[in-house]
Amino acid sequence: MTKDAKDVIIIIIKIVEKAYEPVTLNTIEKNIPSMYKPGKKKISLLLNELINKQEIFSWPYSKGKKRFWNKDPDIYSYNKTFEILSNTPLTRVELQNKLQKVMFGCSKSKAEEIRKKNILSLIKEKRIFQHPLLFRQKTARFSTSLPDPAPYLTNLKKDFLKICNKLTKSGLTIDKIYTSVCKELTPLNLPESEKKNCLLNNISQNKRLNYEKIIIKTILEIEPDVKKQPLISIEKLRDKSDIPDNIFDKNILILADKGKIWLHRHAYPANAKKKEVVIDKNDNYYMGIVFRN
Amino acid sequence: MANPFISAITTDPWDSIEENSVSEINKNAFDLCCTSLKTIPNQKRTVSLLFHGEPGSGKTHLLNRLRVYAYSQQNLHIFISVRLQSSPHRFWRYLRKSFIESLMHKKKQYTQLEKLIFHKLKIISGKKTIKIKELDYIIEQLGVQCSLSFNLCSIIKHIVLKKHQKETLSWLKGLSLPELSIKKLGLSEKKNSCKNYEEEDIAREFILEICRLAGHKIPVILCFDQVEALQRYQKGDPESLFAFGQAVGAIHDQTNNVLIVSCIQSFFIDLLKNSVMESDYDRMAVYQSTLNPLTKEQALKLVYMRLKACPDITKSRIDFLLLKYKKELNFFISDHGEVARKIISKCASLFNIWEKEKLPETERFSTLDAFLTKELLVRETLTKKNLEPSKANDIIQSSIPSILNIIDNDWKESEKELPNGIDMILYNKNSKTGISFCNHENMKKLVVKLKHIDTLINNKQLDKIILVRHKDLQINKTAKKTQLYFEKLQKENTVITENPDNTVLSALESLRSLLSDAKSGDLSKSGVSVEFNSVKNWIESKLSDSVKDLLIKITDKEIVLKNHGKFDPLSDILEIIDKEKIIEVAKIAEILSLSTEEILKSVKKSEFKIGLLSNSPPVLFQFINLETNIMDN
Repeated sequence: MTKDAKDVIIIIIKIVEKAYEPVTLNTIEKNIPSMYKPGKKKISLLLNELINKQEIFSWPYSKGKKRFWNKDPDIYSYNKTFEILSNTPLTRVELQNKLQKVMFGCSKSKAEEIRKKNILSLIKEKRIFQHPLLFRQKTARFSTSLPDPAPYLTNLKKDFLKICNKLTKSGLTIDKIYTSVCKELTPLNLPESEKKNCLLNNISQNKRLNYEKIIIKTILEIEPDVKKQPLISIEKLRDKSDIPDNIFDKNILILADKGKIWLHRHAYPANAKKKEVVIDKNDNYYMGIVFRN
Repeated sequence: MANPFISAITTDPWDSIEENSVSEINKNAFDLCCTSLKTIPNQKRTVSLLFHGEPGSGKTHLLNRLRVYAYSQQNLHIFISVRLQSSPHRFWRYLRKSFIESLMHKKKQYTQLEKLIFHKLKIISGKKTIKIKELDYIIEQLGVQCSLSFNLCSIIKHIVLKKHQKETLSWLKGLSLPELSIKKLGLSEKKNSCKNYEEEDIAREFILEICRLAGHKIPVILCFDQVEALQRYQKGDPESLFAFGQAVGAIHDQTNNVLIVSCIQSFFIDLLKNSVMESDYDRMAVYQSTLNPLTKEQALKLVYMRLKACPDITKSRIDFLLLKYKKELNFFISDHGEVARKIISKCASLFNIWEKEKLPETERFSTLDAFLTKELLVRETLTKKNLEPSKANDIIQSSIPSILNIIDNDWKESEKELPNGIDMILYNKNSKTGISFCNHENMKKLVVKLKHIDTLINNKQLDKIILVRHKDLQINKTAKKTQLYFEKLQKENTVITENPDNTVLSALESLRSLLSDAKSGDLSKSGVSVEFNSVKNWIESKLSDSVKDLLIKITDKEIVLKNHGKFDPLSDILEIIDKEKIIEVAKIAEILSLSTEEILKSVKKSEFKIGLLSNSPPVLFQFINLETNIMDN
């Protein structure tokens, strides 16, 4: 490769790197300083070379034009799908329309292809959930959170009020009926671990479960002066936060991914007890956390 | 082209780093150091800081930055760095030696100690130059003002006049001096005592004297690195940490100008807290800070600084390489961040691939056995170069308990008060061996010690006593009494004389430093810390004959090496599988130069991490633990 070609490659990488969205061949050509301009054919060849080396990525066509960017479209669309669904539950079509926009105007068929692929893998990884159909709903919705049980209980509420009407006439108070219903529905015979789950489910019956908030609250309880960035052991945090172990582990890693906490590795993981560590998918054993300011 | 990432990991606070630092990395911790340093002269009080971080998070680098910062200040600062690779029984003596070694570091043409003394003399005299005839009077004034001992005042005079430099240095380090040298230096000799605690007291008083000499206007930065290395035994050593806590507490209370900085690994914080007294912990950790992993942005800045500091790389090349690093590090560093050591190591291997097309010999896969053998050899060579008989006591006392405990974890060092003449007692359920260091240059002191041992034999407190005297140290022909005692003791059944030479001592010292580095997370292979257990297993199967012989003398037992002297390749197999994920057994056998049977035998021990497909050809693969998978919940 000539020295000139090397220079043009550096320039192309910089143009693609600086761009806020995928750029077309024309845009790249326009932005190359005139003294380096090698012609469209040469640029196209260099772009193919960079794509083969995975230095840049080829993006889905928009308005019939090929586009290039430094972000992998597969990873980008995957993350965006997750992000979109974390805001509100959406149907397939709603998601597809949003994806078409975030993918900077790709074709409908491409957006559909992306949507299908990503929904499939996100569900498989249990990062998103398909919500059961509600009364009058015809298409399923998808979200990063589990369905809120409240809307599904509307009929139950109506039935309960009917029963209340009947029984109050015979002299029973609503409080007594309610206590009796609670007794009937409390899962007394469940094992301890399940009871813990139920208890936690009850905490946010009408809201989205938010274990992250519980963990952060516990961190602040253990070390109120987080500005000093003290190290809190996983063992202590686990004990105090009182969340089932698997959910605790998952949420610690999510908090770290979101940049809310730092994780500190254990130097001798072989000697560590299960309670003392959180393990990520790469087999890193973390023993402590530090709240990031 | 030189790789800008090779040797870029700070292992010593005295390394030169000015060009490589990124101020944003560990900013909180560094700012805390600077603020505390300003507090000392203003508030006339000692301040202590405790830093914790993962192995490779930049603890030593932080100390280095602190030293550079302190040296750049207008007023004089003293910087002392102590790697805690010592026995708790010799803690103060070790600290004294480390103090002096740090004080002897030169900045421009003068050592820190010379600068300190000249500065103080200038203040006392009020002049820039002092006449020799005035010197005695001014030093006397200095002694009175700072409550210095007669001996230290005499030594100060020799330092100023640059006289008897070798003897002066030996005295400062607390080493034994022959009577002639003591006379030459004009020192007053205390009554001949060989009690362990008295020697520790003397060393402690000396350190406090140096701090008093500096006074509150000259802050003394006292950095403790590798605190984990204080632990002598595999199953914890609270006594050592307790002694460390007591020492820090004493320095905190008895000085008013010290910035005590202790660096430990994150996982160690609870163990330290539980091992030291609560009041000592409070004194040790008046302020705390954490050294966190680097973010992607910080990592890129670090890469940029390293590339910029390399004169062979042009600016346009830096831009190009930076883009490539950005892409690679984007995948390498997770959103949790990554420690500096791993990032630098990754960058070093990437640089080799990009710039040299293929990996140099040193960068190809090396087995843990080969790595540790090489590491030990390098350490042995370096130790031998600077080895003097005067170091024998320190080396034996700090190395033997931990090495012995690895070979047989029943053996420990006694924490009880030692009888006169004995420096260390090693014991197990059935046996008690006393060790007496007889490496004295001063024959008067040696004879007193031998007398004590003679008395001790009759008491039968110990099953065996080993007299240690370096092979190169001769007993003066004129020292008849000493010779007589030696001869008498050698005839006793329970007394053994051991004359270690430099080969044994360097082997012991290298093993100790290897263990200490492993305990402190400072022993890294390709950027990853080698676990203490791996080093322990390796020592168990690879102990040299010279060290083995010495251990046999102590324990009276034959030492059988694990696996008949062969090191288990499991850790290497795990490392390769971690990289390759799936690989033929034959291929691994080829990389490790072992037979397929040996590989399969080793793999069976780790069924939970390695899977085996016994088809033809047999293949190994990495197990992914679905229970630990974040996505699986």
